[in-house]
Amino acid sequence: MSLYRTSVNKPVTVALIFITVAILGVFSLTKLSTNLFPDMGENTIIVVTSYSGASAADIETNVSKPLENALNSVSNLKHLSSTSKENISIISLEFEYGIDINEATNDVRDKLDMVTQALPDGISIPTIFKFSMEDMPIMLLSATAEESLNGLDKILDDKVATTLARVNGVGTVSVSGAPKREIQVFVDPDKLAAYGITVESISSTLAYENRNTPAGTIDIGSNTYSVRVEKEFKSAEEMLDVVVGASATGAPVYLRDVAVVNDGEQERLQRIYSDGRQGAMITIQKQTDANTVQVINGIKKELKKIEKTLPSDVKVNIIMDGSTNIIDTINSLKDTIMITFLLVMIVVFIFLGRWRATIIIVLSIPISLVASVIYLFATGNTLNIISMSALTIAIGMVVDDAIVVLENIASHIDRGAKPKEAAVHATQEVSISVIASTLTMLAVFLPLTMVDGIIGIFFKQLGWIVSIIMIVSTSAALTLVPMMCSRMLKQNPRTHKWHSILFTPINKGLDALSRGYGRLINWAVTHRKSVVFIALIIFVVTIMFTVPNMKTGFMPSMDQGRLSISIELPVGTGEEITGQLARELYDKYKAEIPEIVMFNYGYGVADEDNTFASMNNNGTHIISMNINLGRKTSRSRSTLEISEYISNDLKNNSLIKKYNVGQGMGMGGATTLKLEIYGYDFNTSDRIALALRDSLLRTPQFSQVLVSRDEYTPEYYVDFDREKLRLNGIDITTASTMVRNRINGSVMTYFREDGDEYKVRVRYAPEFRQSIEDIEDIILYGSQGQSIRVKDVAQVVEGMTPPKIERKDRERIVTVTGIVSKGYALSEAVETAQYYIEKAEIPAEFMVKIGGDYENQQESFSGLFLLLALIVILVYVVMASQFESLLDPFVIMFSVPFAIIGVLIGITVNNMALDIMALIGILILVGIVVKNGIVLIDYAILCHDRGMDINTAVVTASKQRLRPILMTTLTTVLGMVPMAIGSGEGAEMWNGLGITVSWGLSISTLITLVLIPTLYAAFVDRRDRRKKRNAVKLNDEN
Amino acid sequence: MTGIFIAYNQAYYMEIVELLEKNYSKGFTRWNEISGRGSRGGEPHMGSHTWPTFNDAILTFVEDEFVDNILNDLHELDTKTEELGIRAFSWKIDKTI
Repeated sequence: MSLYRTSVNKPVTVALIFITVAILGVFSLTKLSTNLFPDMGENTIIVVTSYSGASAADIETNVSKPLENALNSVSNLKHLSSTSKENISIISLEFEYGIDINEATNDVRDKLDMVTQALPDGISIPTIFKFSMEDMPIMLLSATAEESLNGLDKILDDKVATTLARVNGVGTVSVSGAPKREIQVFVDPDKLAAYGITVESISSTLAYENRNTPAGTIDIGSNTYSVRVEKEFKSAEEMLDVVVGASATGAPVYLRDVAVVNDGEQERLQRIYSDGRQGAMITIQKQTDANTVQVINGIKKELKKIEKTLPSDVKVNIIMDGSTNIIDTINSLKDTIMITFLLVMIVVFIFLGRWRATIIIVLSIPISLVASVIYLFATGNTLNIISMSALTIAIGMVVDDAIVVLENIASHIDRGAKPKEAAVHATQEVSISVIASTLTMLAVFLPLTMVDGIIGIFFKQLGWIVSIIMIVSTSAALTLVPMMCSRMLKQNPRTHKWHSILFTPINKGLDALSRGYGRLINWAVTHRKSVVFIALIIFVVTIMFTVPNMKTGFMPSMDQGRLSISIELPVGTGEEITGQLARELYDKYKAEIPEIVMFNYGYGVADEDNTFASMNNNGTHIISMNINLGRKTSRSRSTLEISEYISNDLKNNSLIKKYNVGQGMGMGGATTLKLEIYGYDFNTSDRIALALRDSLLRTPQFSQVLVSRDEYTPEYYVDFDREKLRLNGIDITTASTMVRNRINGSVMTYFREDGDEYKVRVRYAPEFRQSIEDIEDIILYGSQGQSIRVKDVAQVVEGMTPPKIERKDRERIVTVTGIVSKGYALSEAVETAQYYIEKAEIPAEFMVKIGGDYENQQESFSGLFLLLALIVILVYVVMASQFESLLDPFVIMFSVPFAIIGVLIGITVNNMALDIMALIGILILVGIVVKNGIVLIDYAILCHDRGMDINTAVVTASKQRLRPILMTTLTTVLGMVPMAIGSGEGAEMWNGLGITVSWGLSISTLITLVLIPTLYAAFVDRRDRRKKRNAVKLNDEN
Repeated sequence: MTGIFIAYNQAYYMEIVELLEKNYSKGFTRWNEISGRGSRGGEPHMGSHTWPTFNDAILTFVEDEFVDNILNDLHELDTKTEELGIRAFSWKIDKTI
């Protein structure tokens, strides 16, 4: 018994199978987590090696270079870059996306093992870190307080950070900006000198005085007691009574005689303001494989509980929430899917005019969609932009097979067959062509699953999802549809009055359309040359007008509503000035940019204990700002516009040396171009970089240009004279430690209170460390205890520290990063950059390469074009085997160039750039447009075989097949329209895809509806004539 | 006894079996999915790309008194749904075991 009869005879089984699929799908859907993009995995490994005391250049020659040479042979390596700065070498290995990072890490470790012996002595063992986009903070919280400000650090640490760190999936939680308590002992150097006491001795005396010691146990009678000495300081004031030395007369010198004790906060501190109020910032990073949305949901739930335990004046607010953008984007895609679904349903209903038929067909949409959700769930993927776009694309296509089957069943019923028999036989008749057309679609989508690299991450899901949907929908079309038709379709269905009122005009219109189209084809097949000529002209003219001006891009930028700004003032700018500027900028932007929802800024030196804060650039001269602009739909200006507004303002501020206005990170961020200047000489590369920066800044294509290499930074050197030191019996280490203890302070003991410990820092009082003279006046002690001033044994000079040395692919490099302005495409920016690169005088030993998004674009474009060629060949192969002819599919393939023409027109009309999303659109189009050709030519062959002459056959086929072609085209095009014109959160990402497919498909359908039948008629005529000639020749010879 | 050979569009199968039963004729032999074409017009049933439908054929031997009814019923079915197509041929049977 055939599959079709089985399914018609066993409706319960068939229905239950599909219901099971649906239930599993819905189950997976509820379990599925959401994310913005498919999981990219880790692709960077960082190797950090420290070599204390070495300068940047030493590090480069002795550490970075040998390590680079060894690591260069690690497999799958894409780029190898290194940064060498004082004391430390950081090498980062960038791999292709999608590789197994653990294997790569092992490889790196092996290579490191081989080379570490050859490294200089005293070097630390290289440490390996894995790094990915996933390590970016997912949430920033601000905490403000009034009365509790002093204890904020402890409150946040105890109640917020530790609790949040326990939330499932949270990686690290770090608090910055909260004032940290510290006991400061400010000594007066003059008094110290008078008594002959040193900072070191005070520090160690305090440490000795601050002790609790268990003294053992004693037995008294029958009891055992332990003995303890408990003399830890109970309060900071207690320290003042400690004897720290003796005067010349032998009288004790108390700490209060030479110092003041200040129970206060750390001197250097990152000050953070949220919406103008000082407080702290809590940065939350997730574990690499955790899901952002889930983690943040967990955090929010926990925060609600935490809020109740906090003092009433402590307020915790959200500065940045990485999940809102994801949730909004996915929700707007869900809306798109719903709209598409409704549109497709309406089209099917209008064309078929039967609600039962519409239900049968539309039912295959949810079934196939949820089936692909099972795949997502089973493979651990997420609902993201790519998978959801794939679902939207597929909606219009899944109904095609069902429509073909249902139409044939309906026509059998119309001819008088009983629905049950009609369902079996009609399905069998079209099964081959339904399977063949699914195979053509698979020929397009399955190759997508085999792509590597960054585009592979995007395409793999798209390919699998659409392929699965196609397979499931074909199975539904061959089993579920006939089963339901046999039950639901009726012979001579009764129609209501409103039915004829509604559908008579529609049917009349469609009939008139198909008659008109028949006449057009009638004319076309008799004027073949003109038709081909006109098509050719359209092709050439479009190419001529669109291609030369075609702009290309990489990824659409997404409006994430976040700005992160970093502003650098000249090195050495004091904290007060930086703070003042930060406040001014805050007041200004808050007033001028009404879109701002949350404004957070910070400046100052980050605490060394805080890994995240200290990893970022920080210093007394650096301001960093986080601005939340809220949802895209609730404001009129885009993030990019606001970012340009701010960067223009910063450009004109003379106080600011360097700034960077960033909007979001990673995929979907702003388009950036990197000019990589390779070459050894510092001065030359600096000159080239600055020249390029200045010229690019003058062009409208770039809104910001940054040079990666820092300038030389001013510093004071205490240049000791070894001989003079030796005469005094001390060495460099002792001398430099003494200087450090006086300026930075000596910490040898901790003050303990309520289970927490606070540093006790002994140092010069602030008024004694304010100028070069103060440094020169620092008193050191020689081996005999004699006091020496720094100026007697050293010179304090102002000098410049060379910047860090960056290398990429084993050559020194300076990167000039340009952020492309709004309204300009990547290709335009590249052109401008290339122009200035050519104009710049670049010596032969230097090389300038364009990287950044451009490199990614070139890589993915070449990959995609190769893929396009592969897909075209595969589609041809599938069709040729279906038609068992080389000619027929060749004619059908002519619709592909016209699909591309349509895309080009669409992109030009909408003033867009040809980017990855548009190219995906083209790839998808190949399958769809070819399908139309198959439907038409297939029927023409049938008519010709049934004895019609080719012209009549082509005209009849065109008239007959106009409806199904229009129907499938409309379902696909209308399915894409919500994507093309969507303006919800994240819509920038899929607008391009929607526009390419709807324009490409519409225009190619219009052209191919005329060109393909005409060409087919011409080719077949030729073939027939040749056959006849050969037959005549054979006859003559006989 | 009379032999009747019925060649018909396969969609008729159930209807023809019912029709025979109604006319007190239980036995038949059927060939499934066979191709053929008529001489009087109508679409060929070749199961090919050009003519995708198939024929079935039933050979049945019935008592003489039922033959006319059967042929009439078949003719009625044919006129009702002309596009599908049925032909039937009958002949006398000499002997049977």
